Amino acid sequence: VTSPFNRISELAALLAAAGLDELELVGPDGRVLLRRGADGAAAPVSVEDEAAEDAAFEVVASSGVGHFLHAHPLRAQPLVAPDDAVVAGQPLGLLRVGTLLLQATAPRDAVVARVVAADGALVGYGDPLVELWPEE
Amino acid sequence: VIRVLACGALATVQDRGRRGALRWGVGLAGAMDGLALAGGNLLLGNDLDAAGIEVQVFPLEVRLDEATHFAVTGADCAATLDGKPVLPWTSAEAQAGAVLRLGPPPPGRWRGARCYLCVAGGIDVPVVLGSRATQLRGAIGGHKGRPLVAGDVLPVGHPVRAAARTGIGLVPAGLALPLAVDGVPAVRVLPAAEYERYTPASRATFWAEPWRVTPQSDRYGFRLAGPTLEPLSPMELRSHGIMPGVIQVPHGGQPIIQMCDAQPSGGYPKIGTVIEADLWRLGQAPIGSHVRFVETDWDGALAARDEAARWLASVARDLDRLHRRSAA
Repeated sequence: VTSPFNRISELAALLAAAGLDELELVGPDGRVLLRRGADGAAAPVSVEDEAAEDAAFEVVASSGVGHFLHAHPLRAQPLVAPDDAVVAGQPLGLLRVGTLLLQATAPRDAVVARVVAADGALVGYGDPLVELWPEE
Repeated sequence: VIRVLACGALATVQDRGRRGALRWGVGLAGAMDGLALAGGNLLLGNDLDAAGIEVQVFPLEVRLDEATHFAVTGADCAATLDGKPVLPWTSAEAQAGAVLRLGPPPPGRWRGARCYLCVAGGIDVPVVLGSRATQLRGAIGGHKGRPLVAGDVLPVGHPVRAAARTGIGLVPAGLALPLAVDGVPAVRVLPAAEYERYTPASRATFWAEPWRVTPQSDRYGFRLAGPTLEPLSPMELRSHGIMPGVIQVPHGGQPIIQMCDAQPSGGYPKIGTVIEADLWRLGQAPIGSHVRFVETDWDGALAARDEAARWLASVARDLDRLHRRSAA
């Protein structure tokens, strides 16, 4: 009677409104996984910052819901600071999701402009985490 | 294979331990921090009985002859791969010929004593009496029954699953399962057979005071320093079976906690037993640090074991979800 299949379009709209990239429902009789868009990878996605007038810097955005950490939890030193040169693939911050720590990585060689999300902040899909200047 | 280029003292190949052989007088051995080893194995898709390298004196430098997925768990040891930093408790990939270096634990938010180098497929030394763990006392298991030295070549097993994803980390066990009293790391303890034969003041002190881990502490046992524990009357016991976790009190009144390489019998009176679920916490207690004892009971010990098992199950579930999502 309350099968989630009857309400998929409603759930999808809620996902879109909340900015979530996926919803997993697990019940005794099965599992429903709703995912928005084609890109299901957990790696942080990189989006151009439309707000920036000159589009000079690039925003590394969150791949999902979690707590953004500036430093590895065993360490006091943040992974990056403004003006740090970073190489493609280098972790800029960590997203704590359940027991896991996922990396927000630099999409290319660049210089850190600003770490946007606060340390420990709860972030959602697409939320800006770090802004990068393109490499000179 | 893994080639040991440089190695401090007492780095050993360890797995979960050699269970079921105590009846022959063969002790458990195994990783001092079993949760760190388990976490590394989960990150790499290994079976939980896969062996890794336990490191407690730094640096350790190894060359990975083949491209290998690996993770370094336990204490943060500022690992570098060909000079580039590698995050602790995180899966990473080494190209063939890469050199991995583990250094002394730097000051951080959580201080540990031992780290674990885990590789996809595990360290594939021969299984002896059901385990790959190095038993130093009996000189069996591990790599030739002894600590690693420069020049050793260690075989790596075949990865169980297809290439593990790199850059996936775990919240370290020490932070996921914290336990401290008045800011001092703590372990839960069951009163043992001779507990009632100590003075009330000594019993109270046992629970109330921090105990310092002295330099005479290793894989065999931890000698602690603190207030003198006084028996109501002198005790002389026949030797009897003991286990890792047993807290003995020799005549000087300073406790000894038996650890992974404990001999299977002893004759000192036993004031308590650190529960199995908390032994990993001791394994990460550095020399010179302090620990507190928290009294628990049988149910508390089982609940603690369940809590650790639940954490591992959560890790496995979260990793599985991530892999399914990225495979989709």
